[in-house]
Amino acid sequence: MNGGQSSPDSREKEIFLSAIDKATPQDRAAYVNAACAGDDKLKAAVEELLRNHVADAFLEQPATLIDAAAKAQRRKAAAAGSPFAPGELFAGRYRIVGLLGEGGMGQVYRADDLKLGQSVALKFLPPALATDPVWLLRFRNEVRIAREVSHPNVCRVYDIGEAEGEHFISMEFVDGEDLTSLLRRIGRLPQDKAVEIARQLCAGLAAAHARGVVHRDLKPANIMIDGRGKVRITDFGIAALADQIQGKETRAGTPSYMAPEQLAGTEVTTRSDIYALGLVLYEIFTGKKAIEGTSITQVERAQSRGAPPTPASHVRDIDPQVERIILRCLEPDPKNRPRSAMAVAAALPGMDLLAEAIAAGDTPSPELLAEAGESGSLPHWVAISCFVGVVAGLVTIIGFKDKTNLLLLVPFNKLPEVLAERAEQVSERLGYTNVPADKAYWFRTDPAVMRYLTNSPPASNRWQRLASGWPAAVVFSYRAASQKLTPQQPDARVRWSDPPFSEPGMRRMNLDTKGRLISFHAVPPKFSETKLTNQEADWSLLFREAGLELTNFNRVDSNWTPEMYCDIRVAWTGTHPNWPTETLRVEAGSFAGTPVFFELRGPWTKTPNPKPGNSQGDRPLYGTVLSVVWAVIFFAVLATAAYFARRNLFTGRGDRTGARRLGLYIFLLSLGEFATTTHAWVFWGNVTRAFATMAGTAFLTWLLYIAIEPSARRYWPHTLISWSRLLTGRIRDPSIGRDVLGGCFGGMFIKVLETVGGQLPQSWTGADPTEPFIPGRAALLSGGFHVVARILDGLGGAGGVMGIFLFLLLLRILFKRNWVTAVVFVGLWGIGIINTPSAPLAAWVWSFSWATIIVVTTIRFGLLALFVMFVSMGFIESFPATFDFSAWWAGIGIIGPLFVIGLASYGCWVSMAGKPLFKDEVLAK
Amino acid sequence: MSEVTRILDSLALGNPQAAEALLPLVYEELRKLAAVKMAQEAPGQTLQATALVHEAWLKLAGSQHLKFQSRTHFMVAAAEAMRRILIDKARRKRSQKRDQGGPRMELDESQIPQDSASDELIAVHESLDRLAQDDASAADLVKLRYFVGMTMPEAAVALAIPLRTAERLWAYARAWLRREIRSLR
Repeated sequence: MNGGQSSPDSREKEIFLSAIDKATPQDRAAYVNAACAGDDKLKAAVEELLRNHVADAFLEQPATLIDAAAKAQRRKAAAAGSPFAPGELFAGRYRIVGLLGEGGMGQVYRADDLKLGQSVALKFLPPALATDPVWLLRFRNEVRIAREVSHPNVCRVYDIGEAEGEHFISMEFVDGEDLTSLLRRIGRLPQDKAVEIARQLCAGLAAAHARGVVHRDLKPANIMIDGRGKVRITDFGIAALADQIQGKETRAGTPSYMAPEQLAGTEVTTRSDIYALGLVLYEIFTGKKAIEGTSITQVERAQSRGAPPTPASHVRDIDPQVERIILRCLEPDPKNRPRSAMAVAAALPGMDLLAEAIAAGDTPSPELLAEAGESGSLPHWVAISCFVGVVAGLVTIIGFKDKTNLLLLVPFNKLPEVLAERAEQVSERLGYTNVPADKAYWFRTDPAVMRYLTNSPPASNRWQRLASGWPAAVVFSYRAASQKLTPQQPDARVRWSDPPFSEPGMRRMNLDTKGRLISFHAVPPKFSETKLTNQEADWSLLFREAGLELTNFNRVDSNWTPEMYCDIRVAWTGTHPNWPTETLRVEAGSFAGTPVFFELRGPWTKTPNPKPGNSQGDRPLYGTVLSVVWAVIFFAVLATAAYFARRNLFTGRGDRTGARRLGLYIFLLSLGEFATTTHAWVFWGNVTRAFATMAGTAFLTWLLYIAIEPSARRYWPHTLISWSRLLTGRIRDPSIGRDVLGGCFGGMFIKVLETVGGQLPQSWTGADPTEPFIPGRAALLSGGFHVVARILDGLGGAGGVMGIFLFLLLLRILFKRNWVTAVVFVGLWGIGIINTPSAPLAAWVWSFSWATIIVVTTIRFGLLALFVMFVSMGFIESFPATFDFSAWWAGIGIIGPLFVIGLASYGCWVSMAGKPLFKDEVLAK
Repeated sequence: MSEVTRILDSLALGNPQAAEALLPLVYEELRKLAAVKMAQEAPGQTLQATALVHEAWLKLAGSQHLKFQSRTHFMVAAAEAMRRILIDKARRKRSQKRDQGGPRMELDESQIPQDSASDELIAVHESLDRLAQDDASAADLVKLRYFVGMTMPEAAVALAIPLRTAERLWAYARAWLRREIRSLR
């Protein structure tokens, strides 16, 4: 070799190193050509070097490991036997202590981790797995998932590695024995010990299932019990994999613990693990195998013979509760098995999972909450007396309200359709003959009339005045237009001035309940070709429609400015035949000989009296500041909620399913409500805006739920039990029934207090007990869609519930005790009343009892009851119910109470847990 | 102060002759250490060369304040020592195989199951001296990587060169040795 001539070699190295930096072979060749510049020998040497610059194994395996690789080969060749000798060092880190066991998934050794100074178990994978990249990838994924399962009853998987040609898993070493050998040694376990082991098994399995890990090969051999009796489930995910990789071979090993659907090869779910769990429990409690057989066909035959012999046939004194749950686990149809391992644990004797979770400082999962201990069923007599109480309460409320029902006082026998026809007749007679393109009408109370009568001297019969129909306390409002009415408010309901009363062709009027005209407005045309005559309209027409005689009135100067343009304005004074003692003023105006303005003004009509000064100027600033403050509060709450929601989502604490369902529920309800009340489906802008609002509300609900619910679950879990069950769709659960019934009862009770309290003398309450009012929403009297909308609104719209619950939750987190929470809540509620200066004693008592009922309902029954309480209060107060069934609106009014009764009877029935109302022997007699 | 540290200090002071004296000492040291290890481990255990060399260095440098260059000197010497230990082992193994193989080997060498790994070891060993003549640091890198089993970053630290330089040097050394060995076959 060219020993002394170092320069050619150093040039060779230089050119080589520069050449390998070139991106493409072409660049490389060109560079070498140029660099060697005619030196063919150098060029040949460099090209030879480049040809040898390949990525193969040459030199890459250190010589010190060559021995090891050869050893690994030998080990593979000698598949049988124990390849690792005790004391051997593996992968430079683990000293093998000894063989622990051998299964379908290869051998397991106990080893000392020299790096960490701990004992570990090493499981070596069979070569069949190690050579297939697809399975290797799946295997890694499974181990990755299994590593996420962190539970004291699940054997931890530490890592996966490859050394000396072997793929292996390092995992927690359990110093104990597996269940198979334990059972072989001592037969069946004593019942208390068996329950304890069963509980730990369920807890471990539930933790894995919560992470979406299915074991698929749960069997006594995969369950380790250490020296202190602590259970570890081993081979998570890995077992599943072995099953898939080695196909029938592995199955042949342990088919006797496979669920029927697993044997059949259909989908394997968490409920297949529940089946295996049932078999393991069977064995723990009886010491016998439920299904004998080692091959698939044997097991399938055994399974097809039907249920295994009952545990009681092996052990006579087995707890019937245990027997029932074991047999439920062994149902051939996965749907009939318990829905979760948690449910199995909950059914074991003496288990209070919730108490355990709280004691351990854990946040119970929604599933755990749904499965938690209490069954919540009520004894028959309690459920039925509550139901009877609800009905009796409703009867009381309606009975009392009938005494002051404004609708029963005024002449109220014309249907809204009849009055609408009457309104059209009035328009026609006044000269508006064109058929309107769109119209809307509704009932309302006239607050001015009510106020006037309240302030009039309290004669015993002052309210009787209303019975004559004049002054009109209940008013029928009607709007019509020659185009579609397109309201601007998001809910798209037509109101007196929405859409704005500005388009020619629009007209609106108020009628009293007898159909007499009270006021009439019409928008005059914007443009007219004919020469306008300044002639007066025929005013007597208007007077006739109002049920008055023009001749009985004296013409006076007009002093009310109408909203619309009039070329002539006139006014009269006189008296109404129904009320001859009070002066009635009539204002009217016409345009081009057609009346466009007509109003009756009694003494109840307030004279507008704008005060001079700059108080008007202050308001906008105040309003701006206030709205800015509200906006800041809103966004602060939103940001806080978003922060907590984000955290809860990342940590997996948020109840995604529950939040999604609740959000969807709210969205669908508001969608339904909008669809039934909107007047403007055709107006696309409204619809998109309404959709945005609804989606926003639903999203906010979702966000707040994700943000808040985990704290409630953590600090006040008892209030969420039935709520969680409802959100998981278990509508027949007794605890849901109990809380629905309790909520109905609470709502009814508050309303009874309110109604009966309203009967107290004025000196106590500050309110006249005889003052009549519409016992509900006047809008509902229009019937049809309005009723549907109100039902939907009532079902979802108790938005205050979440606020109250959040407030109670904060108090509860702060004060940690239910009774302190209750006292503070009631106290704070009272402060709100102290603020109102003229609050008499009754208001105090009323407010405190209100707060007490809320807090007691929440603490005793929980969020669901609170929610139902507000829903039922909403139904009771918004439907104008009456016992006078001759009234045309009685049918509408009774819907609310009937709804509450329906809710209560559902609650009553479900809370009795489907137990027959009468014992069989009673029926047999 | 041990013999080895004295020599290392003298090397650090720029006395190249001292290197001649270092190798046998390090060789002895490593053999002793390896023997102790082997006795502790189960029979047939792989020699953890990297650990061995590091342990030897720690034994030395742990108690002494040696100059930084001393580490490189020591590592190179240890790598050379390791190379000899492994080659001895491989040659012994080979001769055992030949003895077992008996007359068949004379007929057709290809029929005999060859331990290709130890062949590579010996081939590399035989070409390495020629590489050392051309580029000593490339040869040192091969010794550290191949005979001691150091990773690239470890070897770069041992030789006190940047990692990037070590990687390029490695590419060159591999191509060079591969070319050399193939040209001999």
